[in-house]
Amino acid sequence: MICSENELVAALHKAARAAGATTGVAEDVARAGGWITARGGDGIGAVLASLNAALPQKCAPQRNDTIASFQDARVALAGPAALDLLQAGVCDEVLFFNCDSPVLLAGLAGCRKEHNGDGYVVTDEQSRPYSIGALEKLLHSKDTRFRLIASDHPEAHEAPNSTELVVQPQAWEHLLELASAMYVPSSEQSRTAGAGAGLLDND
Amino acid sequence: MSTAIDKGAADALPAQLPLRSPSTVMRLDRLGAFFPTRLSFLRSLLRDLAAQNAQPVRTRWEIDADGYGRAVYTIELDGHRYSLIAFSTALPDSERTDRVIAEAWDTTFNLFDGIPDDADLERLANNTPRQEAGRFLPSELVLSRANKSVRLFAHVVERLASGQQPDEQMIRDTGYLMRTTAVYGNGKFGISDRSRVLDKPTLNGPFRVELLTVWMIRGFTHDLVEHVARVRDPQKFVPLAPRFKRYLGVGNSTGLGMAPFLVSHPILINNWMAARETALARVLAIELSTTQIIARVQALMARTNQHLQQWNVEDSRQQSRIDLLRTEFDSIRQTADSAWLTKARPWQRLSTLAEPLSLECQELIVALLLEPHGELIDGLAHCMSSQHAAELSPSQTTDHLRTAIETEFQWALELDFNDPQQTAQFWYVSEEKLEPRLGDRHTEPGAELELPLDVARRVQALHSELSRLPASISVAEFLLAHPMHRFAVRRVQTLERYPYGEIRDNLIAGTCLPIDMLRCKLSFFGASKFDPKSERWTRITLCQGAPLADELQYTDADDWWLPVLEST
Repeated sequence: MICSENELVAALHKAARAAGATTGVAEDVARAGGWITARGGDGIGAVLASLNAALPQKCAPQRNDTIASFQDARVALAGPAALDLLQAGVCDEVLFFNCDSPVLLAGLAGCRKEHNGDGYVVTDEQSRPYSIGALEKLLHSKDTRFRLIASDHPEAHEAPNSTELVVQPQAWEHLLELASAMYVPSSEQSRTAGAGAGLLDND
Repeated sequence: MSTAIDKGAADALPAQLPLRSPSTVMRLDRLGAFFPTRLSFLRSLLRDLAAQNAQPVRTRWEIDADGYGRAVYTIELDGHRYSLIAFSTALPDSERTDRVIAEAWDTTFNLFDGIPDDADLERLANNTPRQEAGRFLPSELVLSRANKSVRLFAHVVERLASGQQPDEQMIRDTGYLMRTTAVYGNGKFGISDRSRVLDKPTLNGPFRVELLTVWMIRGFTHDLVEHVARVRDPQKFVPLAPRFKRYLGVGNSTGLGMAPFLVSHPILINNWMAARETALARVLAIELSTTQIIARVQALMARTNQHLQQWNVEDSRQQSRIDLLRTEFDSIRQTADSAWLTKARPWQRLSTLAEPLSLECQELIVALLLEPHGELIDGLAHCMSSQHAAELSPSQTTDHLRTAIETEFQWALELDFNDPQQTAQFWYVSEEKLEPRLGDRHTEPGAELELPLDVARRVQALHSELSRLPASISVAEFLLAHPMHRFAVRRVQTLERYPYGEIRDNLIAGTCLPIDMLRCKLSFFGASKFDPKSERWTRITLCQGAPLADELQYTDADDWWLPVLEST
């Protein structure tokens, strides 16, 4: 099915919040999901892969000179933090071991490029950038080590491949269900105070 | 070379006084006193339509004798065609409600990208009347619906069918034949994201596709009422007088759903405010005005006076503000006669004259001052968009961040969040219609799911955390240890670059009146005659006084600020 970027990002944001992401982290993760989907990837799957268990309060990488390493990395939390460290020049590369969503990592990097102009990419050991498609094939390769580095190489930055965002209906329904955890049932108080309340409507 | 070019560019800008400070402008009570201006989106949209000589053409009219069926209007803009598709259906009185919880409406609409073929119309006939329960494609730019003002619609039909014009007082009192209860854009329910029109100069401004839809709906309401009357008695039928058509706009009930937008789009809001404040600063800098502009201001003051007399509401708070405004504005009119305005710095002096008066009066004067100075300020209407999202600067130091908070958020640091009144309300999304709502934190459930409109509280918490740091570090390192502050850091950093991007009041305090946020946003749309029905929702009229489709080329087409219906 086709969905709009706005409704996809809004639903991902709510799902991320429901999974325990803070508002600021949820903003980054949701935008990354939209970015991945616009490039033909499974943005919903990439985000949910990193939200399938409650997120910890924070993550702490090991630091070795100019390299930071996240073990058993929860990308929803570690991804934005890693990009911050690179952008601030605190380190030159960030390594991810046993990473729960490499595609989301690529989406976060792509978004950062799109919005800040600073290019970051997910690469293999030899600094070869992964495409979204290649990363999706590695979803279940828990042993793979990913590197996040600065790069302005044009091949590393994928352009949207369509103006229409295609998502799997089942994934969409699942996402909406997760997002619904952020909704509050209306109270009688709210119903009596809403727009149009208390007026004769056939005037 | 570049210096010379830069200097040339600077020389080309009109003179201006310093802008009013964000800490003055971005207060909730002042925002709640805003009036529409010539920079409002409907005004600038219709000017752009006129500049293109654009005019909607009715390309389908499959409406029966009772006024039910479908119609299509097509307009060409920037070399591209867009169509308003209207569905009109029978609706029992028992099902007619302005509430967002409604499930059926008199009329439903799409603004369609292109010209719909039969398959498109068939698809939309199965979805558009269902509104939120339907599903849409990127070819649809807007989804909307409207209900009739039953009494006025029936009255106008009856009068036109009997060869008479409607009662003037009824037209004046109601002001619209239909009122919209939702105008959805930007990706809702599968319709197109705004990105689809970003390369279309006429439609890429804020809310332009939505307001184009409203303006075209207004034309449909005129056609519909005339159609039903004509069919009822073709021999006696007379068309609705143009002056009535021009006065009849589109009503609207606006509630809390609109309010969080002002908080969730800080860069965009900054650009709206900065354009408006820059326009004011340019006008205030005028050393001597011309005879023509002084005469124009005098005429506008007379119209404003008439408009204020015609603006009456049931809400006692707003009515007492209007009563005071009438008195204050009258005193300003007495002082600011032609001779007074002929002296140096007339507009700065007029602005100063309003300073001790109510916020309603101050902001009315702002809008008045902008009105006759189109040549000086209209270009600013094209600076009111933003494609940028708020971004972090991870390399900034925490010392810098803390100083920024102490500079721009001092008002937030002074709040006592241990006082239950300061946290009395919370914003949330309702399960029932997925719309933003406002709850009482101390009596209603759901506060743990609140929307991040508690900016002041979050920034204060961030400041406390920063104050505990033993030494300055990068924001990146700070957020690694404190990811819960990511949102607040982004707000503070954004405000450094976009100083009008933040409402400088506590939006979860018991004293926060959402109606102020609604009026601010609606004034930018171009709405007037705000008619608050509670602290949480208001009726308004859009397009009242706006030129009709065949009037866009008239010399007075853009002269509809604070419209009045003149008696004959």
